[in-house]
Amino acid sequence: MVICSKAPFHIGLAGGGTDVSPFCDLFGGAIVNTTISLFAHARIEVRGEQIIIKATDRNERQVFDLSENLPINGILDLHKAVYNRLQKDYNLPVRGFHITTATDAPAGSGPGTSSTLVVSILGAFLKMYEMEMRPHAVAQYAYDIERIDLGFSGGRQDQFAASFGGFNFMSFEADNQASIVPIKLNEDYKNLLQKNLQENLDEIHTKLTAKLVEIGAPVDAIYYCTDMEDTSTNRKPNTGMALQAKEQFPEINFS
Amino acid sequence: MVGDKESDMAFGKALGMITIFVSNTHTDVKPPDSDAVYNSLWHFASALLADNL
Repeated sequence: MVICSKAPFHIGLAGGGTDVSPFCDLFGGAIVNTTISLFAHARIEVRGEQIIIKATDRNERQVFDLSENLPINGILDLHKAVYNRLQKDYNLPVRGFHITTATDAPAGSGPGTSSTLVVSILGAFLKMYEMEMRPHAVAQYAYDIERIDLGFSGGRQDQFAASFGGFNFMSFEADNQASIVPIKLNEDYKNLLQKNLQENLDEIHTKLTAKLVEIGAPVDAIYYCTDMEDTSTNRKPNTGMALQAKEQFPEINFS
Repeated sequence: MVGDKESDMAFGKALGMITIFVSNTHTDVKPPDSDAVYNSLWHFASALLADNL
């Protein structure tokens, strides 16, 4: 049996920090964020008589004999903490499996990487054990694992964004109260947001190319696609971006 | 075309390019159809510099 799970990363737009306890417990936290098309991936193969954990993007791998409690030792702790917590709370059958994870954004880059990975891993284990959990419960469970079991500091928006997905207003209060309200943007605001994000991206590209010039690796042009629809000519595997380059630089020979 | 997604490889193939799949960012066990597979962008760059493709 092979199980795949993924959870989206997000960018915070307003209220960052107000979701961190004790601030949100005392004063209430208010956040606006949106998930993006980058994900944390988890894949479980149920087989064998060992527990094998691997993070392909970190080049880390650990192998254990069957156990209901895996050692937390600084390597792949997120994976093991999810497993340990589920075992502890639900007394699940112990069986061999291989879990492999990867993230589209590197750890520490900002979009809630570790919390999103926890949600993705939790999603895969829930499928493996044929358990149902609603998005709110998944987010809270992931929060408890990361912030309480592992003692990693941080706020609450990351887990809720990864679990719910979409463009949301989130409010957080004491006693783990959380309210997630989807925001429906009208076209004007959506276009404005898109334009501002695109300007940010252009700025990043300008800095990136300047750095590359400094080390003697000039870049003639950068092409990117912000369209989300697969029918867009610029969205891979469609070839629009390459054709743009060919138009700008006719000397390009793709083959 | 160097990429880490199936769509990158399909994009390259559609244009007749040589396709290089970089495997360390995704959990897919079986890499998609490509002309070569490298464990990481670093490994590919090293091979390129060594002219060892």
